[in-house]
Amino acid sequence: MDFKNWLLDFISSLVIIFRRYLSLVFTPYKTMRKISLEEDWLQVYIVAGFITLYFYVRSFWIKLPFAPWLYILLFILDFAFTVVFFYLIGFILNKQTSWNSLIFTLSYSLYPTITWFLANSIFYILIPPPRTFSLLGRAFSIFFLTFSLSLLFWKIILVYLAIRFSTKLNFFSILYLILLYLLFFIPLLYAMYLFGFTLIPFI
Amino acid sequence: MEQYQIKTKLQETFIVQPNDLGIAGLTHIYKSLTKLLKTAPFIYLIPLAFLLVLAIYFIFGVYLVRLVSQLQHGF
Repeated sequence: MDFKNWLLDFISSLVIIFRRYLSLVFTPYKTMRKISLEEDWLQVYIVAGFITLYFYVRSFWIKLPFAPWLYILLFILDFAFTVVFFYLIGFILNKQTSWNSLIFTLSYSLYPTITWFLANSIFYILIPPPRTFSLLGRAFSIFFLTFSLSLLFWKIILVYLAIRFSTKLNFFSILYLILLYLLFFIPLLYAMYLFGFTLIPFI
Repeated sequence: MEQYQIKTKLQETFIVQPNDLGIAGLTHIYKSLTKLLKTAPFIYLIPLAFLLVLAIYFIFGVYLVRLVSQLQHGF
């Protein structure tokens, strides 16, 4: 009976996660607002599970300098740093800042990142780099960058909404908060690049 | 049940106060822009991204192709 309940919870959380992917594409504002009131922790674990799975699957596709668990650990540290940073500064500015809400909304704001990494893995297999300067090479480059930039814009919207609904701060406070975060985060990314953990900055 | 659902929806709507940027004109621009992005933002984001990439292509030319090669290695 317990297992049956657990399975039902798991399936329902999984369905919510997939449905919310589409909702975040079509109605990001309303969906993020709903997510900020979420209490089902299984959803966060499933998103984390997808990321863990991605890192392991990726290690089969390309030869990586480090074991997959190290990338997962770095990702968890990176996520924890982000949540703690926004919580602490958000709490100083507004006591209504919600810890749970930040974890849920920031987890869902990983969707563009996961999409980009998954799509990039598929492109890597189908059309391996380097790109050439031929007409097709240039056309693909324009397509790829348009796709990447669109996802980056989506990411910015989701992160902004995540902070807005979790901290209840206004536009300028959120803008300063994000700039302050980048001030810490960019050197961290550069260090990760220098140590060979990542080839591109990702958020 | 129906009343509960309506109440929940209304509560959701009021979880954050409307943004006020201090200057009426600025708040108006902010609200006009965010209104477009609240529903189906990709209708605007994809053309915007495409135009930006075209501009980058015309300015930097082949460097764009090199950038894509670098990004493709980055996953």
